[in-house]
Amino acid sequence: MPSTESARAALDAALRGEGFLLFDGAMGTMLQARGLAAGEEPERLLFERPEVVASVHEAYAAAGAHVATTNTFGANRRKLPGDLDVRTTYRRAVEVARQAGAPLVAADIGPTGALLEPFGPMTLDECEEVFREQAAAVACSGADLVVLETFGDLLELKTALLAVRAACDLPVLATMTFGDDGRTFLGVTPEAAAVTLSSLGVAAVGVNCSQGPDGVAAALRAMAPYTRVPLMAQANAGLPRTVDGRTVYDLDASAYAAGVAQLVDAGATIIGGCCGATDAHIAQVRELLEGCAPAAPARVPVFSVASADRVVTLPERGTDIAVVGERINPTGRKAFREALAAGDLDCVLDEAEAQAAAGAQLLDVNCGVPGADEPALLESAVKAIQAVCDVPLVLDSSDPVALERACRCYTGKPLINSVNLSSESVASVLPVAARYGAALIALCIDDDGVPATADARVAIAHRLVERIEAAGIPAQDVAVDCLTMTISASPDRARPVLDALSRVRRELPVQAALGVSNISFGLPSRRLVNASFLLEALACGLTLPIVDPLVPEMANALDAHRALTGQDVGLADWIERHANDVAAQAPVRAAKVEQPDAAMPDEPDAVALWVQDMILRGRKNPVAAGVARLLEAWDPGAVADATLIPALDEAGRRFEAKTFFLPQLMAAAEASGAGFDLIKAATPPDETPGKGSVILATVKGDVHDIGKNIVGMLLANRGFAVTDLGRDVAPEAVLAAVRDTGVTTVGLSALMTTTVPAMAETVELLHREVPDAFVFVGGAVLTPELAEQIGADAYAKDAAESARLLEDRR
Amino acid sequence: MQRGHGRFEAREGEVLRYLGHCGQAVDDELAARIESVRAQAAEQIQCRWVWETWPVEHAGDGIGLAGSGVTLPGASIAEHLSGATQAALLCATAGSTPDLKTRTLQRREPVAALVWDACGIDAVELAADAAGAEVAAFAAEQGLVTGWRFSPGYGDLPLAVQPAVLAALDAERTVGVTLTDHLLMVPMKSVTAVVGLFSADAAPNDSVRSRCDDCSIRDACSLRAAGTPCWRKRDTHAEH
Repeated sequence: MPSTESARAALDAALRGEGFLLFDGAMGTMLQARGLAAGEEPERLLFERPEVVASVHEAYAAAGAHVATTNTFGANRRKLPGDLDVRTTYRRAVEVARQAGAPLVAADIGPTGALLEPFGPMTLDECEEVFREQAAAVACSGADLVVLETFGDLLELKTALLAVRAACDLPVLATMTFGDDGRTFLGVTPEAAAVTLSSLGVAAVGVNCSQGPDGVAAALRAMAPYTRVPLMAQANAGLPRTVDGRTVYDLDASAYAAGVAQLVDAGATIIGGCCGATDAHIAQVRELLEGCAPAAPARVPVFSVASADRVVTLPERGTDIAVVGERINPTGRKAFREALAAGDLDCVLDEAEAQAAAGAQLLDVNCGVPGADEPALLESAVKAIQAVCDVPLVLDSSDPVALERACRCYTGKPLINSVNLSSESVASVLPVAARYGAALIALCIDDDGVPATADARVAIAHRLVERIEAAGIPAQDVAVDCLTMTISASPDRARPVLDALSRVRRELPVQAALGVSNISFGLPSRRLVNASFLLEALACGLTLPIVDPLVPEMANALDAHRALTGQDVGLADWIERHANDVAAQAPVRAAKVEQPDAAMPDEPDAVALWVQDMILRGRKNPVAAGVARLLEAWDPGAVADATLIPALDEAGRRFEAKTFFLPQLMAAAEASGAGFDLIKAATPPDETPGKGSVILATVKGDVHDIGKNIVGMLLANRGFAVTDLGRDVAPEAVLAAVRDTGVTTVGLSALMTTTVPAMAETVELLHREVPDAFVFVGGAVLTPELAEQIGADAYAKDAAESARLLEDRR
Repeated sequence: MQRGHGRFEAREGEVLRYLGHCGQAVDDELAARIESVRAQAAEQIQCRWVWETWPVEHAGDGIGLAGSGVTLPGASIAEHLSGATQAALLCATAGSTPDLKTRTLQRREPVAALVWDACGIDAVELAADAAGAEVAAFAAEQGLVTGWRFSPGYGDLPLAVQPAVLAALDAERTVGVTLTDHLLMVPMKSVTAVVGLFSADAAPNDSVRSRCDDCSIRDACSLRAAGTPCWRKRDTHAEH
């Protein structure tokens, strides 16, 4: 049995990558062998039969494990039985391990057991609350280190890690579980996990559970080049089988140890076991480790950023480039700015997807709308983008609060744009970047502004990189921006940028970022100037060009640069994109082709009928074109009355007559939406012809909201102002919304029989507190009788009927 | 504990049925939109399942699965497992992709969101079929036959058994399925079920009654009203 001193020495050596630290094996497997029934809470044993848990720790210590992992995998407020509290459980678990003779004790923290938004219903605040409570318990439990294990969601793990780091200074080891497809259940890749976690201050990062040593070794090998900290591995003892009603794993101790040799080769220095691995397995692993030395780390210093499943790396001193798409930015874009200010993120998502399709490797996200709540907007934008697009994000703001909120909800390692040498920026941005393990764009600005000369900019870069390193962020994660100035004011302004850029790349181990389009402000043929300047900057060592990848001149220049510098291996990309270029014709990127439809007529009355037909056929673009034409002739209200309203009525009639099925009704709604947006934009704000307002919600306990959303969309396109409270909405929250908005028409949806009582409760509360409330209900389990029984004012069997119901009430 | 995973292409006929199609003319553009989502779903949805069998024992308050920590209360499951010597619990999931796609497309492309939802339903149905087939093969090795899948929420088998069922299968770790405070599974396109294992002479004849009889939403169900209930056997909708 190792002494505590020798175990501590092993821990220190392993964290330097110079020796091995041996963890224990499975807790559950050993407890089940000692009589724990399936489904029984293992933590309860700590209080009711502590000797059983102690005997597991004793067995592992006898096998030579340096570290005992506490029996607290599910010791959070969501999973613990009601009579056990988190703090007592951790204290007890550490005590039991210590008394059993464990040389070192690792406090174990597993996932919450609920899925975070957008995958599930748990909010980030709720998740943080769960881990904060556990972290506080761990901090005063007497544990020597902390292990976060078996995570599938990188954001959940990041949240846990931040909570633990805020509560204590213990070393934290973090592992995720990957499936046969090389990803976690939620799609996280080992590369992204390694990049993100090792920048967030973990002492080691690794892989546990789910597969035997072969699968774990594959995931470790994927992590190895990207981690900046030692690797940890806890493999299952192969795959489980049922023999005579008992679960057995197919690798015995010696076969397991043979498999673990692969983990050592892959770079692991912290090794233990997971499901199926017993003290016999660990004893064999100890023998194996006594006879070998740690593999040389595979890592090389690189600039790195990551989303949940994609990493972007740039080698130090290298010439590889990563294109940053600049279009998610309200500056100088009125429609985009207005949509953003109104909280409409669809425009952001459209830009994200278009730029990703055009080859952007990073997306800059700027939500700086004057007068708007930038922190809230940036957070919402980041959440929305990462739900639809896996390109890593650049969080672009000078507001440290906005940066902090965006970093916190970002799944991965972000790039922050930007910090500069002004005292305010250094003081406010660097702590955020350090806490969230972000890479940084460093602007050559100080308290006096942007200096004119190259020398002065290079000097700022040096000083800024020093400050950044002092804050704990490695220089390799910095991209210096030498700042493009407009040449139309003074043509000698281009040279200092390029000179500074060359020198910064030569003198510092950093990348270079640059937004190029300012160079041509005020000039004709800006795109030509921009593309030429881009190529000059690339030749000087620019690696993170911030550009509009949808502009063909820029895209072509980047393609050509990659081809000329050997980054486009075999010129495959160039040939694929440009083989069919016709002279003088720009390549078409991401063009949308619509099926041809009958031509639009000329006469407004005929156009209106044509638009109705196009709505019923679900054709978005023709509807928009027709409505735009009609808006030239008629006022917006007349256009709506002649097109959208009769077409949606007809779609509703057809749906009721079963000549349309649901996708056809929705296609009509979707197409009418394109016209509705134009009509709304053309209507002066104070003249919006309100049809009335309605609040919608899926009731408490129910997470099915597709039906409610369909109702909302149909009502909105008919001119109702819809406030959608979302799903799983408590009765009190519906009441609060009614009081806040003064809207007394409420639609409630429930899909499950089990949530009908919550619906009844909501109806009852509304009627009691707001006597003139009109509550209509719908959803799969509802019938007119049931609706009446729970006191609803009306029943609507589907979206079309909801619309008719509200129209009739006007 | 037996685990499996696979990708399943949602069946066109089933997808249309979940979308409420009953003979309407579908023009080429809509058909192409549905087909495009169905193809993406086939590529992106990764299904997983886990199952295990336990001996059936009659406990005072229901049917116990010995050693699983699960007791199944109520008359419906007692009837369903009447004569069974063992029972399997299974959990199958289509994972988070359909949930995420449905949510993120809902505003901008509601038609695609609907089709993703329908594809997720059929994918998890196929995954549960695959798990059921593994249980049946396991039963056949012992000379036993299986009954049909009976899920919590059918008849009077309450959702309250879900925590115990998922814990017995270690479903959070094995297939990534979690429960909300209100006992709904997340990912939402997930299925849990009980399958009885019977000796051949005790096998239930489940052709005599409609499974809608046990269903709590039978009166409100549009599929049942349309004569296309959700539980039809494979061969009865082969025409799609």
